[in-house]
Amino acid sequence: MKRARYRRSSSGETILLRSARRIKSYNMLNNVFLTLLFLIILTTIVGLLALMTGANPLDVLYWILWGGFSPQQIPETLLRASPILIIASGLAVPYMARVWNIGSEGQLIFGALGAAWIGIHLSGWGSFGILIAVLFGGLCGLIWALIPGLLRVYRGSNEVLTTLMMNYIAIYMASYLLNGPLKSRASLFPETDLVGRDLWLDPLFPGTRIHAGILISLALLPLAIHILFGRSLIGLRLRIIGAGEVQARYFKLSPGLIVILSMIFSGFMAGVAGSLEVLGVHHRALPTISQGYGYLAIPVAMISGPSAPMLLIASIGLGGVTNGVTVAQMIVGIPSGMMYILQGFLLIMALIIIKIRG
Amino acid sequence: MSEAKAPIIEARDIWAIYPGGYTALSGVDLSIYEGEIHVILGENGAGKTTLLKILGGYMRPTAGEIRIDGKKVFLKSPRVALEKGISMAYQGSSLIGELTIEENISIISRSCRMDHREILKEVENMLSRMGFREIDPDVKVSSLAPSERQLLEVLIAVIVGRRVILLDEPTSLLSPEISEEILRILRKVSMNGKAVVMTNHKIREVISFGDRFTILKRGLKIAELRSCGECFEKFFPHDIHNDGQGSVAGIVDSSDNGEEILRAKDLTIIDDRGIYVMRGVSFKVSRKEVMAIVSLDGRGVREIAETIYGIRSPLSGEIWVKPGSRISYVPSDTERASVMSMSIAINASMRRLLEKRLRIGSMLISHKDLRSYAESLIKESRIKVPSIWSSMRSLSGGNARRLVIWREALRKPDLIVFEEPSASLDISSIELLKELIKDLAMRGSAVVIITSDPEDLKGLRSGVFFLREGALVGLEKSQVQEI
Amino acid sequence: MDQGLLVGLLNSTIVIAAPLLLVASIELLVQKSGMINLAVEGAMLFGAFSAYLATLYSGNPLIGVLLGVLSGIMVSGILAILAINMRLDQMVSGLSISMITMGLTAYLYRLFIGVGKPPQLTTTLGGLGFFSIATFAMPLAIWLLLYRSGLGILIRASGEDPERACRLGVRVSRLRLYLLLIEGGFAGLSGALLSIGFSGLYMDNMTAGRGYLAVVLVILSGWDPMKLLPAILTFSFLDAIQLRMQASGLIQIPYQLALAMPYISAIIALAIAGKSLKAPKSLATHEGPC
Repeated sequence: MKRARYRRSSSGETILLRSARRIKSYNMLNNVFLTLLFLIILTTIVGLLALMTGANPLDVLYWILWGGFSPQQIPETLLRASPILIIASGLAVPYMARVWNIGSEGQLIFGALGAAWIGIHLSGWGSFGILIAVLFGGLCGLIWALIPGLLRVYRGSNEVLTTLMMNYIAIYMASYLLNGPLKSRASLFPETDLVGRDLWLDPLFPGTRIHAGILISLALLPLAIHILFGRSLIGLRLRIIGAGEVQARYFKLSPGLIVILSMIFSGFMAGVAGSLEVLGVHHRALPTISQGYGYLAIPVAMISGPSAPMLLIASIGLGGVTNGVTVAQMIVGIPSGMMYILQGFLLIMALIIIKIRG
Repeated sequence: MSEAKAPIIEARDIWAIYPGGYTALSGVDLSIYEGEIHVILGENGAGKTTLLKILGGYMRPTAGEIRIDGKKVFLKSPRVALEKGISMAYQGSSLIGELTIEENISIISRSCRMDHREILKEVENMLSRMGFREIDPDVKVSSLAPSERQLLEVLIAVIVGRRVILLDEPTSLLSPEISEEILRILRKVSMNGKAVVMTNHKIREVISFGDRFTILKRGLKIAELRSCGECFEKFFPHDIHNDGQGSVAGIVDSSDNGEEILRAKDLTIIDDRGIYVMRGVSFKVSRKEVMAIVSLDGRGVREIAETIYGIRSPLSGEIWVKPGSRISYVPSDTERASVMSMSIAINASMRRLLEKRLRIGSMLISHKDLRSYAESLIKESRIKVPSIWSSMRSLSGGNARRLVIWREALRKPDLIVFEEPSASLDISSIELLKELIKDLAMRGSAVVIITSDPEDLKGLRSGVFFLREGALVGLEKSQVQEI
Repeated sequence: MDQGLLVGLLNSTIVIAAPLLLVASIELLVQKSGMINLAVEGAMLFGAFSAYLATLYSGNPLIGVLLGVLSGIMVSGILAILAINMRLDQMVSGLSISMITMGLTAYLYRLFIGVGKPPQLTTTLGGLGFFSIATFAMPLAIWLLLYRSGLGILIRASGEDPERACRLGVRVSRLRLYLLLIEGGFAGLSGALLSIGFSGLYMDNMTAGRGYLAVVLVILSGWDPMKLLPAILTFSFLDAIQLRMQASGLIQIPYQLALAMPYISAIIALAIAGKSLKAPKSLATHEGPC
C-alpha cells in the first residue's frame, strides 16, 4: 500500500513534514524563506482562480505584485500593513500563551465604531481629541475581547469558538448601527458622519495617505513587543502557560489572570488599529473599514511570535498582497471573495510553518 | 527450545531515534524462536521498552527491518501485529480506563480471530485457578487497582497472542505469589509452541527462568546468552541484592533540630475520580528529616505529592507548611516540570527566573545570567548536554529527569518533595540520587519521598509509613541497617 | 394562544431544527472519537451552493442533493488531510477551510450567476416535512450506535484514550477519517436541505453559522445524544419565536439580529456549557501512533 508522501514515522509525523523539517534551525533566514515561499504559492492559487474567470493568470499575478510592491504602490501597501502589524503585535501576546484569539476582526470593528462615535463628539479637541479617540477605540476593542476572555477563564469556553462568534456578531452589530442609530444624515451610504476635522490624521507626504499613526506603529511596535515580551519574564510566564495547564500548575502560575490580560491586550490593539483606520484613512466608520485585517493578522502573529523582524516582514508582505489583490480586482475584473480564500490559505500555511518548526 | 528451525520473528539492525535526537536503539538484532522464553535485560534507558514497542507494532523503527517466518513485514500498527499473531502487554497498560473490562476485551478481539466471550472465559478461568473470586466484566477498568490492571493486561496478552507474546515488566506491580503463577503460565504457554519475550528488572526472578537472554546497554546489544548465572557480576555489578519486600523503616535523626517545616493533621485526599488516596493521616516533618510515604498499591502517589507541594487541595484535614518556605517538587515525569519547547538553559534556570520580582528594571532575561545558572547546574549534575541552548527535547528521558532533580535540589529548598524517585533512572543514577537526598537533609532541607516502590528507601534513614487504599497500614519507626 | 400561531411556530421549529440535527448528530460521533470539525460550516455552505447550482443546471433536485452530499464529503476530506494526516491544529484548520469555502462560494456564485437575484427554483423535493421529522430520530440512532454496538465502543475508545486504543488494535486515524467523511456528507445534505429543500434559493453565506452552532450544541449537550435533541429543539423553538416576532412587527427588532442569532446562540450555549469533565479526553488532539 503506497502512500509514500504521507507515511508516518515512529513518532507519528508525516514524511512530508519530516523532510520539510530538515530546514531545522529556527533562524531568521529560514523563516523569511518559508514565508516568501508560501506567498508565492499564494499568488499561484490566485492565478488559478483567475484562470477560471477567463482572465490571464499571469496578468493577474503581475498586477498583484505590482499593486503590492511597486514604488508607486508602496505607500498604499504600508497603509494596509499598518493595521495588520498593530493587530499582530497584539496577538503575539496571547498566542505565546496559546490563547487563540481569532476575534481581532470584530475587535477592530468595535474599536472603529467607538472611535468614530466619540470622534464626532470631540470636535474641537485637537490632538488631545485624537489621543482620546484612539484610546476609546482601544477600550472598545478591549471590551469585545474581554467577554470571550472571561468565558474562557470562568466557564472554560473554548476561545476559538467564542471569539469567532463575536466576529460575526460585531459585523451584524456594525451593520445595524451604521444603517440605523449611527448613520449619518448627510450621506446616502451606511456610514457615520465625518469625525471632527481637527481629529483627522493628515497625510504626512503629499500624494500618499500615510499618516503619523502608520509611521509610529511601523517604527515602534515590533521593537516594543520584542523587548516587552520576547525576552522578558512576562514572556516566560506566557510561554509556560502556553506549554500547558499542567506546567502552569506546577510552577504555581495563575493562568486565569494572565489569560484575561493577554486577551484584552490584543483586543485593545485591534481596537487601536480600528481607531487609526477611522482617524487616518476614512475619517468615519463604514462597512469596509476592515479589509480583513483582523484575520490576516492571525497567521502573521502565529509565525512571528514576538519577533520584531518577522512581524515587520510578514505584515508588509501581507499588506502588499492585500493591496495587490485589490488592484488586480479592479484592473482585471476578478470577482470578490478572493480575500476570504486567501485568509483561509494563509492560516493553513501558518499552521504548517509552525508544525515544521516544531 | 528449538534453534534448528528458523526464528519466528527476527529484528535486524534496528535503529530508533526520537525526534529531538535521542537515540534509543543503535543497530540491535534479535531473533526469537518458537517455544522459547527470551528475556531482555538492561538498565533504565537501555532501550528494552523501545525494542518491544517496535516488535509490537506500536512504534516504527527509524531504520532496520522485521521479519516473520523469514519474510519481511511492515508492522504498521499494533493491529497489524496482532493480526500476525504478536500480542503485547505494555508497561503503562493498554486497557482503557473509561471502558469496562468486557468492552476492552471486545476491542482487542477484533484484531485476533477469537470471540470476545472466549477470551473473557479464558481470563476468568485463569483468575480462578489463581484463587481470585469472580470478576465482574462490567466494571470500568479505572476502578481496578494498578496490580489488578497489570494482571489483566498480562493474561489478555497471553491469551490473545497466537505466536509471540511480548511482555514489558509484567510483574512489576504483582506480589511474589502471583508473579510465580504468571511465570508458570508463561512456561506452559511456551511449551505449547508460543514464544515469550519479556523484560524484567527483577533480575532474580528471571535469572533461572529464561531460555535465552539478551542484554542491552544504552541502545546497544552487548550480549546474548543461554544462561544468566554470571549476569549479575558481569553486567549489573551495582544491583542491590534484595527480594523487594520487608520493612524499610528508618529512624528520624533524633538530634532534633526540630524546626517544623511541614505538618499534616487528619489529612484526607482524593484523586480526580473521587477515589480516596489518603484517609485521615497525620504526620510532621522537620528540617534535616527524611519522611517517606509508601503507597503499597501504587495509588495516589502523585496526588499526595501535589497536596504537599501545594497545588492540590485536600478533601479534609489540615496541611501546614512553614510560611515563606521554599518548596521544591520533583514529579515522576519530567514533562510536568519543564517546558519542552524551550531551551535547556531556560529550563535549568526556570526557578531562579520565576523568583525574580517583576520590577521595571529587571524585566529582561539576561543571556549572561542564563548561561551562568545553566552551566553551574550542568556541572553539578554532571549531565552531558550538546549545548545549553538546544531544546529540552534533545535530552533523553533519564537526563531530563536528572536536570529537573538537580534544579529542584540546588535551590536550597526548605522542603523538597520527591515523587517516585527512581522512575526513569538507572541504577547508578539512583545511587547518586540517594546521596543527594542525604546531602539535602544534612544541609537542612526537609525531604518527603512519596513512592510505590519500597526499594527507593533502601539505604536511607527515614521515617516511613505505608498506605493501602489510602489507609494507614503501619507506622514504623525502628532502626534500619544501612547497606 | 392562537392555534394557527402555535402550528406555525412548530412548523418553523422543525424547519430550523432539521438541518441542525443532521449535522449535530454526526458531529457528536466525531467529537466522541476525539475530533472537532469546524469545517462543517464550510461543508454545509458548499453543499447548499452545489445543490442549488446542480439543480439549476440539471433541473433535477435529486442530482442537486447528490452533488451537495459529494461536495460536503470533499470539504471534510480536506480537513481530514490537514488534521489527521498532517496533524495540524484541528480547530484552526477547520476554521480555515470554512473561510476558504466562504470565499470560494462567493467567487463561484458571481461567476455562474452574477449579480442580482438568483433564480428561484420551483422543482424542489416533496415530502420534506416527513424527512425533517425523521431527523428527530437521529439522536436515538446515535445513542444506540454508541452504547449498544461494537462500533460505538471503538469510537468511544478513540476519543477517551487513543494511545491505548491503538495498543488494543483500533485503527484510530481510519475511524476518525470515516467519521469525518460521513459527517461531511450529512453536512452537505443539510446544506442542500437549506437551499433547494426549504427555500429554492441560494444566498451568500446562507448557512450563517449554523455549522458552528451544531458543533457548539454538541458540547452543550455534554456529548449525550439524549440531551442533544432537547437542546436543539429548545434553541430552534426560541429562534422560531424570535423570527415570528420580527415578522409580525410586534417589536422593532432589526433584521441583523435574526442573522446574528445562530452566533449569539452559540456563545450562550458555550457559556452555559461550562467546562465539562465529560468531554472525551482526547478531544481536538490527534497524537499517538495510530
